[in-house]
Amino acid sequence: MANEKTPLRDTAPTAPERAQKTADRSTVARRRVVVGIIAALVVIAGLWFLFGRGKDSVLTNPFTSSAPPVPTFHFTNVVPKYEALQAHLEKAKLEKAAKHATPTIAKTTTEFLQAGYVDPGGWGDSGSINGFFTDDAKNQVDANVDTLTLGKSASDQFDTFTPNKKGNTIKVTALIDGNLTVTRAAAEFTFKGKAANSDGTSSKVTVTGTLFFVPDGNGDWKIESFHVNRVEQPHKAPSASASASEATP
Amino acid sequence: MTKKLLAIVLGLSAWIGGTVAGTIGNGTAAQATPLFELEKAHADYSPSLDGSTPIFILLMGSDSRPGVTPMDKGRSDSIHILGINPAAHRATIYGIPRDSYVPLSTGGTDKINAAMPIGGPEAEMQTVENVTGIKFDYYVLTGFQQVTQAVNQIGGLEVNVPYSVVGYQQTFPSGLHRMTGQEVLGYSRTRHSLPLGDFDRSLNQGVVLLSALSQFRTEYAKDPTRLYTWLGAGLRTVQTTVPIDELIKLAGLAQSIPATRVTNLVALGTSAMQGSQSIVNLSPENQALWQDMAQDGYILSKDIPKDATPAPLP
Repeated sequence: MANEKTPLRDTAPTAPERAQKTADRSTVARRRVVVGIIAALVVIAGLWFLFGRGKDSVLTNPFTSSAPPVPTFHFTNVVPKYEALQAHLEKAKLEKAAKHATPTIAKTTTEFLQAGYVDPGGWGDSGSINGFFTDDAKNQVDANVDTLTLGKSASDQFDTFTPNKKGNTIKVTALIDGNLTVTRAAAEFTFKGKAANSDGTSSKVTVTGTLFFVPDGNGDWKIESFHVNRVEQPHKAPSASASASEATP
Repeated sequence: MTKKLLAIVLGLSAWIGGTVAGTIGNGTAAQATPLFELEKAHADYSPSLDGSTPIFILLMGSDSRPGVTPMDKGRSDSIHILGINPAAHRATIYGIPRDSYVPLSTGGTDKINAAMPIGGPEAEMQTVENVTGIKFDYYVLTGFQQVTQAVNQIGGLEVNVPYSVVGYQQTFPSGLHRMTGQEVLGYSRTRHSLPLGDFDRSLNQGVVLLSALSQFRTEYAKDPTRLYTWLGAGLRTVQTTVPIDELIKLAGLAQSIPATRVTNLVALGTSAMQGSQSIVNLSPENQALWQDMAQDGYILSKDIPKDATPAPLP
């Protein structure tokens, strides 16, 4: 008995036992694969729920959230006009004064539309455009923000606004006093663009209006009065049924 | 067990796949704006005078001829008190016959239109203030040629003529007429063919002012830049103390005061002779109306005594 050695291993299993063990291992492996697939699917579903539903996402997708660059635009047709407040002023001098003021008014109008319409960050946000108005007019911005910008609910419908390259026009009328100073100016504009969503929904947007400007004493012009209209026309079928019906003769 | 798990996996896959596929392209179709439906939005704001403090402006028309007398040294043949109450959205045009025989601020008693040749528009304004007790904020002075130019520069004026008037050069049938500057001047100056002479002429001048208000409101609603056309046409042809900021706010206020909320009346009085000249003795009943107007800027038609109609000229 003193010479008995501790066996290095158990007695070798019988053939049925080996077969059973092999089957058990195989079952465990299969279960692991299935559980792994389920876990992966759950993770995918979770990620989709959190990030993958476009504007309905709970969280912003860190990989795709970088906002597209905001496009810029300019008025392709700029017409200067004038109205003299005193009789017998020289026409050439009046025209010169009007031409001098027009680019500034056109630029301010461009920046105003850029802030409220082109830049999605300004949609429905009176803070983004308040700086363009006189103190009195500023008090009216909140009540009119749905027209002075693309609107409070625009972000629910659209991702981007792309101004048309052509067809944006502005006519600037300068009110000129006896000292040939432009005391006020009116900007009559037509501004067109396309508001679009990544799901294919889009609208043609046309903004027309008149902005009345007054110098603020610091070299800038502020809007003291406004009359703005916007028309939106959805122009692309977002649904398969609509596409199908369009294709049907 | 394995079959159950596979079924779960397949079910989940189908759900996720279907949901994901549904979000691509057509997923939000139900939320999309209906196709081809125009959506419109509108924003409007104009600075306007507000508050219940009335504003009074003296409107004067000089009889000066170009090249003969400066406008502010002519006789003020047309005198109208314009009272406006911004909060009430009401106004009144109160005409004073030019022959009204009153104490002048420049001294003595004479026809009311005689103060301006002596002391200018300020003296005329002071005279009207003394007579009526109404303190003016501003005055506006125009003349024959200036009225003609102003009307032509806005493209004519639609005047609603209440009854047929035989003018110096033409007849103005009752109804709506698009008048040139010359026609407006002719209609405003006509006196001899009117039943109540100077009283009716003053009333017709009020009709022209009301027509201008209506036309401005209509044009501004269609095209706000017409404001500058009117401002230019006005300021190039009149002499006024109304600052441009105030004019712009008055234009904004005009949008909330239709002509139907403006009372047009002429001072009550009787015609008489003073020596060789025809004069008007203003009725004491005017005092109550002026006091009423001084308080809030307007007089309601119902408050004008019906039996106090001006007497016709002798």
